[in-house]
Amino acid sequence: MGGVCKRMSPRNWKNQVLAAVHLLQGYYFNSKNPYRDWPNAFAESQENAREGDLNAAVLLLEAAILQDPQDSEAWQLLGMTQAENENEQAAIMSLQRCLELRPNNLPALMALAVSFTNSSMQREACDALRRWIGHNARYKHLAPDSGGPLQEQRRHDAALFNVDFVDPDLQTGLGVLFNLSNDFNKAVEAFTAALSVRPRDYLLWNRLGATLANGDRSEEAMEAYSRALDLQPGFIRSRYNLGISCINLGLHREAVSNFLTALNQQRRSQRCGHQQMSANIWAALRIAISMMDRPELFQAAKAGDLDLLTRCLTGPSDWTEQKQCGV
Amino acid sequence: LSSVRVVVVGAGVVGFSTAVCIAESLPLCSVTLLAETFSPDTTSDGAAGILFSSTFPDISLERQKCWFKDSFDHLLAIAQSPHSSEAGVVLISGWQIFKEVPADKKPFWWDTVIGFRFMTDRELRRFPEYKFGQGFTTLKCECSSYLPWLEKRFRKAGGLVEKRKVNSLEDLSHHYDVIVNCSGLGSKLLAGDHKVYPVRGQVLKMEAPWLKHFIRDGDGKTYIFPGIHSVTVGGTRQVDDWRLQVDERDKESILARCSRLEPSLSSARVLSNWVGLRPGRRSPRVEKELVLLQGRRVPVVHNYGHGGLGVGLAWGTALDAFGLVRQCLHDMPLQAKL
Repeated sequence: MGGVCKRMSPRNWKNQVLAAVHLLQGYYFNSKNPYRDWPNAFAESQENAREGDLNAAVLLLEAAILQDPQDSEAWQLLGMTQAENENEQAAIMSLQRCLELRPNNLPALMALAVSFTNSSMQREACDALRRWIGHNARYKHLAPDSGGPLQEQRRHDAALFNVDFVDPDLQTGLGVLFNLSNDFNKAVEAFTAALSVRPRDYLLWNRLGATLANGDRSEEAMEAYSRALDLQPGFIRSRYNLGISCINLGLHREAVSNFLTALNQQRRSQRCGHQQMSANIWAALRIAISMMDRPELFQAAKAGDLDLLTRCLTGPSDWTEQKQCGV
Repeated sequence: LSSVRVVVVGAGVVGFSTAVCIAESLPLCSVTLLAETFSPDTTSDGAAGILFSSTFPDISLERQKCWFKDSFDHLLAIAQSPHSSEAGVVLISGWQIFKEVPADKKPFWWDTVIGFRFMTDRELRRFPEYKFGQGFTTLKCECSSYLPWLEKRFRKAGGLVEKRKVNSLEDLSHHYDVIVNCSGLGSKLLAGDHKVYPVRGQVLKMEAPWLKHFIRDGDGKTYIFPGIHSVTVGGTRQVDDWRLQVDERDKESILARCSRLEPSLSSARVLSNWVGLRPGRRSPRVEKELVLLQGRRVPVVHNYGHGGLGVGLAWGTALDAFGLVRQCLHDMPLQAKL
């Protein structure tokens, strides 16, 4: 996310002050937001998210927040959407803002734990999980007074055996916790249990896939990602993960094709600029291209020329028609 | 993270060669070269830079041949290009002479240098103390020109150069994804390698433009290497000697030994004295390892310990090291996101 902070009209000084605060905290609003004064921004964002247009959803949620900076639900959904859109930093900023406004927002706490886990911030992730238990009416009594992740894990195990039905949220928390301790097989069990209750939850399918992939089971991971993408074709993070698994299996061409799909999806709304694309996906695309030994494409990859790369690298005959793409 | 970040430690001929190889061949990586000392103050700057080799015990002969041939071909192309003068790389002919006939009369690199032959008795008559000699044409690479030229090439490929001392690999682990260690003798501390030791070398730069051919005693301690601007006259090979000061007795000994080989040197003017510490090791270390740095397993590629052969092996070992960096990139597990 390399955007410019939204400049606000002078009359709205309160928003301006808040935006300055957020700027300090690091959330960058898109500078050109066509939905800035959209009347039903929040409701519409959810429609766009359902349809898989994550970028439009992000812009609408940002608009909703600029209209009402105290809207904790908008911050929560912005955070979760940014994570789905493979922008982890923005997700963390938004979720933290949401939790400042409403500390007991359980979905935001869980999403924050996931984002910290993805960022290898173990301590912060455990802290978010601890807060999740502490605010959860059903498991409050299990909350540790203090102590490290190990103690917490034992309590989690206890919770697992004490309840006589499968709580998908608890299983998700366990899945995250086992990921943190690199116990991938146990994490797979937890996400699988959660999926038995919520088989159409594409976030869960992706989490199962990522766990399999990080546990060196890339082929199985790809199946899980496919399920997630069947349910939500616009799910950028899962498309990114699919590309990563392709790289790990040596399928560089397929990896490139997935990254290009994701970047093109992110750019779909023509109104948005380069800043809407995920730096992470660009980095992975560059790695995949450098492994494909196509030096004539390095310049385009370096410059971030998505059109040229798409033209050269997609389509059935791209190996023979290098000259036509004008490199 | 917009690209993979590679850092090369060391700005001698091995460091800059490695940095150039990586930056030019992996343009999607960002490459930074970090060093405390740059040309004209590196050990490479004092080297006469004549290309020949000797045999290392722990490296396959095939690999050593590759190192030498890759380096030779790379420098030969420069010597025969318009860059020759700026890069300080020229062809030179001369003799390597032996007091006793060596067991191996034909070194492994005989067919890489140009026109290798045994000296005739008539040629040897000039060196009465010597029984055997080899004549050949090889290359001379002068690092005081070559290093700035490589730096320019490195920057052109997008490389970044920073002057600062690196105290430990830990300092780098947060900012870089792959660390390439070309710190020579510095590896004793940086990589905790006790097998690397200094081999002190003292030389004189002399004004003797009439000399056009090199003469080298096969024991490696006495040599006369005419260069573009002066003649390098040496030398010493003092193991585990850390002194960087000029030793007057060494100087006299060098002058006496070299004047015996080339009597006209006694009338040449001494331009300067120089002392350097070669990064000695039983065999150079060109390998990769995963090092645990601040809780993270960071790939480190080592390329050091070339002793007195750094200039002659730099490009070949740099290509090897570059291959290892590439392997690191392939092996680097990309994390999936929950």
